[in-house]
Amino acid sequence: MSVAPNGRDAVLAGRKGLFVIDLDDPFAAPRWLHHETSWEVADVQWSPHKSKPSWIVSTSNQKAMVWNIARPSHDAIEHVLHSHTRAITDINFHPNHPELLATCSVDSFVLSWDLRCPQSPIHQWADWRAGSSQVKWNYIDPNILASAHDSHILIWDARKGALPLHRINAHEARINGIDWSRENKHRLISCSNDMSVKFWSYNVSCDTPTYTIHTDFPVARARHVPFGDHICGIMPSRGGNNSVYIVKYGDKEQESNLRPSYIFKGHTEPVKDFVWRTRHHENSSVDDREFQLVTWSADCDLRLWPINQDIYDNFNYVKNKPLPQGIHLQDFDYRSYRPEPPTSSENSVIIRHHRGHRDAYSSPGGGRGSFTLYNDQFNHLNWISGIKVGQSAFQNVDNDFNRGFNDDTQPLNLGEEVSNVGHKFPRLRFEKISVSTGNLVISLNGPWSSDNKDGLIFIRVEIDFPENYPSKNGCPKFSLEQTHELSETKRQELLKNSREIAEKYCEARKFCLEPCMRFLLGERVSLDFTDSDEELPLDPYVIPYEGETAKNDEFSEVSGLESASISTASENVDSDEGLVPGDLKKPSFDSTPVPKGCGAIWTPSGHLVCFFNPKEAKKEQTIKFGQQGFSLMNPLRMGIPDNDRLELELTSSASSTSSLANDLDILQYDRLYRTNIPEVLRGSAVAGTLANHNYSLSTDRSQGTSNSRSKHNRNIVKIYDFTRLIPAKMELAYGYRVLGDTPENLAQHNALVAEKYGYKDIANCWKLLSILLVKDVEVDTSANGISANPQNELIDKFTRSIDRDDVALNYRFYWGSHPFGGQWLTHELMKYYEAKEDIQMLAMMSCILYEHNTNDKRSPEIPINTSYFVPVVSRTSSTEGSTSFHGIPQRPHMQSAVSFNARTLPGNATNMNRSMSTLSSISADSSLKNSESHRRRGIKQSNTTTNDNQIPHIPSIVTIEGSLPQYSPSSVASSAASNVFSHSFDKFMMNNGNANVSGSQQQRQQLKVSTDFSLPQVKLQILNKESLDLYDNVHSMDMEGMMDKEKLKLYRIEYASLLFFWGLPVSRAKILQFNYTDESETSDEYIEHRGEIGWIKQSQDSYNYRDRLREMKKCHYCLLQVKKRVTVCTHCHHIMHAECAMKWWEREKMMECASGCGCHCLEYKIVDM
Amino acid sequence: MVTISNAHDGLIHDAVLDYYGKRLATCSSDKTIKIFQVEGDDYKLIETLQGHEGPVWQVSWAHPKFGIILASCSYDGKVLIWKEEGGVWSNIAECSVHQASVNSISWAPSEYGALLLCTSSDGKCSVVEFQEDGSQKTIVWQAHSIGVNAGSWAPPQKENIQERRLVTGGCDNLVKIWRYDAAQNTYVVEEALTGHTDWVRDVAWSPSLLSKYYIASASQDRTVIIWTKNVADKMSPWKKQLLRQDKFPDVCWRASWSMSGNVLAISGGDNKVTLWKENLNGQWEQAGEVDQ
Repeated sequence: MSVAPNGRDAVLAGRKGLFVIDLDDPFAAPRWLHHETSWEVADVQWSPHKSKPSWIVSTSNQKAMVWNIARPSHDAIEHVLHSHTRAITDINFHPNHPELLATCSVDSFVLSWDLRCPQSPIHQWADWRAGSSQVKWNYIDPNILASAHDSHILIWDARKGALPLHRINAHEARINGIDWSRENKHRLISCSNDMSVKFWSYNVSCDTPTYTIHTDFPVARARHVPFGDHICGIMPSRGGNNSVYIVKYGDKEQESNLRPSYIFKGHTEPVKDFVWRTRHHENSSVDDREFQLVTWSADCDLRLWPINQDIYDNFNYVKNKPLPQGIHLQDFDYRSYRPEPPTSSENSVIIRHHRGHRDAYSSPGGGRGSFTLYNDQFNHLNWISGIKVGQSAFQNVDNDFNRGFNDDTQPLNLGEEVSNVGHKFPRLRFEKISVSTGNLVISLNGPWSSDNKDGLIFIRVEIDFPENYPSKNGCPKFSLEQTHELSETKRQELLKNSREIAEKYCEARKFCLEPCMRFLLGERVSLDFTDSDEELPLDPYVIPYEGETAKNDEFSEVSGLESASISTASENVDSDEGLVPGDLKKPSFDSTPVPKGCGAIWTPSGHLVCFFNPKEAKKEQTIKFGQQGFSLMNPLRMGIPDNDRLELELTSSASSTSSLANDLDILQYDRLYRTNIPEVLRGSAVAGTLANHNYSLSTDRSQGTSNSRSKHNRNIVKIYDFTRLIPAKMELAYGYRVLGDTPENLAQHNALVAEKYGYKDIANCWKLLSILLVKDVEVDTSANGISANPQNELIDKFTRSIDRDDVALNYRFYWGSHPFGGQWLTHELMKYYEAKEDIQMLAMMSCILYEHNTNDKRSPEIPINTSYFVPVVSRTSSTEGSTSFHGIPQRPHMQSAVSFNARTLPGNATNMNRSMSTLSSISADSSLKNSESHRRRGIKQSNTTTNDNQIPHIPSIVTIEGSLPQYSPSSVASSAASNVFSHSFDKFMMNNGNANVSGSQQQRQQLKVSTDFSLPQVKLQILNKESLDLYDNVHSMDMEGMMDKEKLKLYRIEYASLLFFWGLPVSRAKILQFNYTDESETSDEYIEHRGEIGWIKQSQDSYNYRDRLREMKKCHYCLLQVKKRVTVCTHCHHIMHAECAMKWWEREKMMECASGCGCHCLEYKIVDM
Repeated sequence: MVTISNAHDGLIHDAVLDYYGKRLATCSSDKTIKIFQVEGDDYKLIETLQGHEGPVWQVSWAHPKFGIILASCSYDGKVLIWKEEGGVWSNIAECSVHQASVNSISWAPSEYGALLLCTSSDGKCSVVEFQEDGSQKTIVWQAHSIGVNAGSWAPPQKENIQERRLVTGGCDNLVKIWRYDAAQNTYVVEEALTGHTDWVRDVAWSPSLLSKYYIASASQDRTVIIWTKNVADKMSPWKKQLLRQDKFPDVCWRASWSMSGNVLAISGGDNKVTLWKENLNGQWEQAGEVDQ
């Protein structure tokens, strides 16, 4: 992009040629100079010289095209400069000499040309090695020029061809831009991909810059600002909020970070170039230049930024300062080259021919080129609709729903109105549009024939809009061309009526073009438009898009009219619908809600997936736009309607049945969609080019930059870890156990797990539970009087570490039956976790307590015998944790060097003292539990049944040693480990043991003593323990009374589903087993559990497995559908994938069916099919 | 933290992780759905699904027991079902019962089977049942007069699996609770909750099986209402509670309950996500905030 020196025109170059835009009349269609090339245009420069105001140079691969746009468009190329062998990267006009220019190229040559002899360059310089990216003439010394090659700068003297004057090794990465100072001939700025801008004085030093700015983005351009002192503009090549930064560097030295004095921010894509547009009075002796920044960006916006007085002040630019002696500002003819120069008639035919046949009006960036245009005037309308003046460019970016919606339906100026009307009435032909002068010539076919009521006749109307339109005095003037078809009376009548309509509308300060056109097209126009306004619901919340409703009404009228004109005045209004292919049969208005700007969705694992569609647009509004400020849509994006236009666009697109029909397919959804979304999908237009770029951006290491919320980010998806907020912890689930040990040990284990991950509350709760869960015998109650003290001590120790005061105060006793102990405390705990909604604790507690509960029932259904599951999947580090935990509780078993297997029946222990009987019964209880689990696990009974709980009681047992043989007729095992009380016993084991000690203080002393001498290595083993009925003596809590059983089941179900999501199907199955203990259960979950996912129980005599295979579908292990290899248990008919069965039976060493039905499938036949 | 920027060329409308937290599905105005493989902090685009003719509003993963199934709904009025098999994604079903944009989809609790609730701007809701043989059974009913913006299923009723409930929010500013009526084979309105003064943009029924039902409804009137009802007491009315007493700074777009623990995430027009948790006194407290 380049701006003419007179400041009026801007030229944009693309693969289709040059586009000349008159910045003073942006509504006018740009002038298009065709030059089809497959090469991206690297640079275009407008000659800065007065003598050649119409000269433009652009690049086309290795050639430079010199245009003279004073000549007709088809013949505007003055010279082709061809001497480079590879693509030209930069062009620079000589600042003083109008005929000289320099080009540089990837071939490492820098050439200087004299346009008077364009056949060959007049000078050439070469770096030989590195291709050149920039070349710039010195502003002051006409012989000096600088070129940038890769990461260094060479300074040349035009009179000295071979060697550079200086070489500046300026940067560490490719240099993107250099710029000489206008004031000092030794100074220049360079900027580079190494994210720095450096200021050099090559006469001082070529090694160290005078000043360095570090930016956080690669810098594409750093240029002096033409006004003020020591100011430069910095433009990022990507990132940097797509802004242009203005920096004062006057008194700065050394290095610093980017500290912009002003930021021009607003583009949504990287800025491609920025130039200054300047105006001043002719022949003035003072410096009265006015500046405007022109930027143009990959978002296809060309924006003009007015420079406010405060910016001038900030940069020490004093307007109207007398110019220094001898210097005067160059005056340029303020004329636009946008209009075609007058040409001979043959030429114009050729032009028209050219223009009439062009299609595929695509952007230079290779964006979407699918918008097919059939004629110029439509094209022009699109152009107009892309233009936003002042604030309007930013209007719809705000999602604020409190904003009135009415505003949007009103065009903001004549240009918009024209484009609205043009889009709405495709049958109108705009023969001339001149928004700046307010002159329109429109031709149309209307039903005004005097002979034939149905016939349409051609009319051409010229409308002049006054400047103050629309207002009471600013009523447009109409004139109708006389034709033979149109009778004079009719003509007068039409004129009168349209004037009437116009006046009426203008009085109300409304735009009148549309009603007038509707009238001329033969539609009845109601003049009581105010009524229709009142019909609209007053509350914008009810129907936020009332604007559309109104429009839609019009739309049906219009379409009715159109179809009438096609099918000769039939009143069939809706015939239009069929003509628009793919159109949704919309309700009276589209109630599709505005898309959500952002969202957050929980995942089962406690992460939060958030997505945002950043709304930078809001911030843009902080930049003030003056009267002149406007933003242009790039001509190359004409196909894409802009936001403001959307509501209106909707109707036009839907009603158009003619040339737009094809485009509708493509654009319709976009448009419809946009009607509801103020913020843009700009991206779609430039998607082609940008997708790749952005992609690489987001995938490469530079995630940091994308995180830095640069404007690159059109949308972001982030996954946040919020597991801390979710009470159910995945890592705990990996460590927790519910089966395979005594409940108190499990609780202890779980406490350790919780402690390990730092959940103190939970750990304490588990500890409490483990105390509670220690099976106690009623004999102990009677011994309470004696044994209470040590217990209390212990409990105090526990409770002190517990945060909840009420527990600490009330929890005095440890056995489950006590009202404060078991029932009350567990109840409270449950209630607490219910309030905390900690499903994990609820489910786990219910499982642990449940087992406890059912132990005194007959039911051996409870699978307390499944071994502990160590997750195979190592999803988190918890694997190591869980395995190590796995070991700890087992340790006492392994270390059962001294193992006692007391089987003292309370009743039989007549010859013992009471405390002794207590002790032994405790141990008997625990040992039984252990031994039972051993039996169920299928481990051979020959190994000694161990009882860790008993160890503390050694002393007491020692005292009764004599009596032992009578209870243990079996072998006295030999054993090793002399020191059972060695450090290997964890503290918790001690505690656990102590908790079981119901002996007196005295005994505890004994215990202490006993640690000192080696213990007798005695081994006891229980025989025929089935006959023992110790359970009768075990006192356990009644869960039923405390909690709603159903509720607990629900908790377990929910926790099980969580476990499933966490990838712990085995744990899930274990938890669920607690729910399905009772065979008679027929709840729905039960059916689901046993029936739907798996084998449907049919009549037992049917052994046709193939038949049944059709019924059963889901593997019980992974819950996925079963297709190929299946194992079926012949007893319970539950199925599993062959691989899953392998995992379940072999790796996990499970004994029971994965469905949790309690069937010991391995004992039956398992059919593999 | 996984951050994916510019995944799509248009606005993103939904992003959902699957049940195992391995796959992320996003959908956008660019009419595509993208599937990302998420592993730790890394992510990889594994598939771009094209098939919709308009912006895709929402995506939803079916329960894994049905396989790797993704449903998507779009402005084009269609709901598409995608399935991955052997690393290949294909469109296996399409339902186009709606006359206008389908704004939300939601899979029913897996106990009910493969049931998908769709809500549309044509004012209707539909529940599509995908059956084993590939056929679909659809129940369509008129739900909200101007359009239905969101729908969500109740967690499964323990005592009666047939007693299905769902909640919808619409442009009539109402939140409606529907119950499945097996006899008529349709959904009948059980409750119409009033409280919002603008379009209800999202409703979410908490999946937690606690003593109370929780429904959160987010609205363009910048409020979020928590509706609660005692599970045990069938006759008790729905209680209304504002999530926060003053209004949110901007419209509220989405509400999402955590799988467990009843943490509510609200996203709003100010591009902020706030997290809410009920304290022991039954008051809702902000537990976190995520800024863009």
